[in-house]
Amino acid sequence: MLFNEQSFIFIFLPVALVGLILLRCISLKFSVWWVILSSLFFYGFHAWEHVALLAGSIAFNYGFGLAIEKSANPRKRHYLLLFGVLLNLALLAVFKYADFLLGVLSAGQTLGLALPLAISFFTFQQIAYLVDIRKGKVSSPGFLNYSFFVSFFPQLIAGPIVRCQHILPQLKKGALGKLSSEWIWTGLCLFSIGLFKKACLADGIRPLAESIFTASTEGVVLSLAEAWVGATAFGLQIYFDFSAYSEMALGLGLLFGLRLPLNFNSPYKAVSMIDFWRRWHITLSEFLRDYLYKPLGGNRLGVARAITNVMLVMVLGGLWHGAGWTFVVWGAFHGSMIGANHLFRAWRKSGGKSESSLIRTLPFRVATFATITLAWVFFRSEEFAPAFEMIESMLGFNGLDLPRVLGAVSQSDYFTFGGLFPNQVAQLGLLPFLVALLALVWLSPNALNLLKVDSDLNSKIELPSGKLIFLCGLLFFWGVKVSFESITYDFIYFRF
Amino acid sequence: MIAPAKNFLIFTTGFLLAASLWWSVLWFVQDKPVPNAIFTQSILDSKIESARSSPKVPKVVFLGGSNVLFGIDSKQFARQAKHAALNFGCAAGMGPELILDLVDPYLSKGDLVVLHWEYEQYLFTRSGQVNITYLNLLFGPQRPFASKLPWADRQALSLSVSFSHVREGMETYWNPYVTPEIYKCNWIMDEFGNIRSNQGGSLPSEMKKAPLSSLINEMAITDDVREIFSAFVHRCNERGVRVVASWPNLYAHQDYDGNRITKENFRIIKGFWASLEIPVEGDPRGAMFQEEFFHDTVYHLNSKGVALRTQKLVEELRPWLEIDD
Repeated sequence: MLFNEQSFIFIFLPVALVGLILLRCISLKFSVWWVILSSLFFYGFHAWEHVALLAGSIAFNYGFGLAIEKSANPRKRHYLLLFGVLLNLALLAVFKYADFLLGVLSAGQTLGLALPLAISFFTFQQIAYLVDIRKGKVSSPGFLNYSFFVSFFPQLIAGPIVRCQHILPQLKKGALGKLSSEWIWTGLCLFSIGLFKKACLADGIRPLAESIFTASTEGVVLSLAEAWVGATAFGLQIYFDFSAYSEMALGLGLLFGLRLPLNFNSPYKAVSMIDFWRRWHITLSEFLRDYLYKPLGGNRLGVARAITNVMLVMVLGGLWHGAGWTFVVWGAFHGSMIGANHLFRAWRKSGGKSESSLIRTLPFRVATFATITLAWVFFRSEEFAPAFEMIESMLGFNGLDLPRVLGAVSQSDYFTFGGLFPNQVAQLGLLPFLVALLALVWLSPNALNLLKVDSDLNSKIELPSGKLIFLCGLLFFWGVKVSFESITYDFIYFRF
Repeated sequence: MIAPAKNFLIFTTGFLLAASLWWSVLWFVQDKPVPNAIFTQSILDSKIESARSSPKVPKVVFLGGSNVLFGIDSKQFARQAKHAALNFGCAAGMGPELILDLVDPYLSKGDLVVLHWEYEQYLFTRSGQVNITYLNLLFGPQRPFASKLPWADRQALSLSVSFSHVREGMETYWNPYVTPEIYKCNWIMDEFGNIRSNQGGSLPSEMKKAPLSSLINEMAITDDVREIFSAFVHRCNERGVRVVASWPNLYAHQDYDGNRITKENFRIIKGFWASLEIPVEGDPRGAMFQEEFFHDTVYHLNSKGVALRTQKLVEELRPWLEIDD
């Protein structure tokens, strides 16, 4: 059951909401139970056998959190935390990385375990909880509230990676199921915009990316234009896919009376790689910063150490996305670019001036976008050979294919005049759509700006304007319409 | 008006406006069929022409998807069984209901209908996860049939039509460089509806590797299929048309051997026909053949395979033909 499926939109969501509203009239505790059970049903709909794993992980981490909190001995608290974190990582290692590690060790065998949905998300979420409880930032919330915090379905599958501090104060205030017109309409608008983005934009551009990456995998040497179009199409696909999920999750949270942290904020408007990671998967970036980068020393130990730390963090961030060398390279590429960005900033000594005039920032924005697009090639490719081949095409190492109209000029080994798309592998009918999506990404305000939702979880939510509600009614129809089509695709981040 | 009601009204207006826009677009493209629909409809046209020009009664009518089209030679059958026969094999993607609807006017008292449905057909639904060929026909040349479907299915189907259907329909209609004629099927068919352009050929390797998912996964025959065949059998009984079920010709993939689920699926299919009091002739294994008998897919026999399959059918159906005599 996906957020963009009819079974979710027309059955699960209304039943979960109506149940919540009715039970909220009786008792907050009942409504918390109801949402937990609904969330477990939602999770189990994908694979019932993994519900026990999720429940076990919740019980285990809650118990460890309690033990850490109760222990008066700092040393014991430290070891309990270490043990808890290691066990969480072991779970992740067995289910997600065992086959990859066996492959690296050339063991010739695989465990062949099915990857439990959202394991990376709920594991990181609970590691953060254990660390926070060790540091005294949070106290044990009680088993019911803890279970709710981990399992709450809008954020369970693909983030945001929520921390206890985000949810518990709201639960304690009795916000769950306490609905207002402003929250309902903002939530519904966010959900509708997200649904439209996923169904029409992300899945709409998908065939263009698919056709070119498939050709690359099959050994076709792409032209420069084909390679850039393919990588850009995938960049747009994952942009709208993740943006859609993040907005739908936020909207669903509001419909249930809770605010989730922002996870996506126009990342392709970023003017640097550092800026990009402040906008893309914000909660993952914050997790890596607070629980990995800073404990490693952050930037307190000099530039060289800071860059090493960034590299390490980004490689692990890449591995978090998937157990494969291409993800490692993707992470390392981002790490090295962020490192270069730090050096550049230090050289210019102009950090913090990133959001100046459009003309001044345009070259930086284009350069950042091009770098990210290059990196997506590793993220999307399953093997190295086609990824490197495609990168070579993008950098012009495989020659330059020019339009046929220029054919009067003599050809050479490097220049050919067979057209920009000589392999005829791309679904070029989607090129105008690609251009339109780029314009949308760069020139239009994002949904959160339109609905005036900011990162402060305590800020006021305003009622959307009538025009916006009308527009969301239109978008909701188109999103629902596409959900009736024969093929619906998973959210890309579901795999992680 | 209080604010929540007003906002609800605004949202609903937006929703309905988008819906109206979509249905207007569908209405606009309904007479602009996409290439796939032109192709399939041209097969149907020749099938209907064969049925129309075959007034002999009683006759044997072989019904199914392309496993019949590429699997049975009704001319050979007529010669060997000394009984008129018609090949009404169409395309599996059309779904059984449309095929049954099309053949219905050409069935007469005393006819024997032999059903050979591809295994996927038992999973057919009128709406929901539908085949693109079915959808293209319903929102193209088979509009009259679509209008007979239940209202809820019609609405769900209209939402299932993709944007690319609309784009392809318009491109086909307006492209000044091509005529829709070029999309018509160019397979050679004789006057009895048999394919004659299936000499030789080979099974693509990816097809040889993969068994049918509908046979190796537990099969749940859909309610739509039960309803459709129940109604068809009822109509046939009323008109004195006899109905027999048989098995589709299929590539004998090794994964079917001793497969518990496959065996169970065959039992489910037999049980389904038994529930409609339809006898089943032959056995599924007898309709499976080795690679050398296939033309281009796991359901499409080449001319050598067709001759073999038809010969087998003559033997299997002889008791039914003797009743006729």
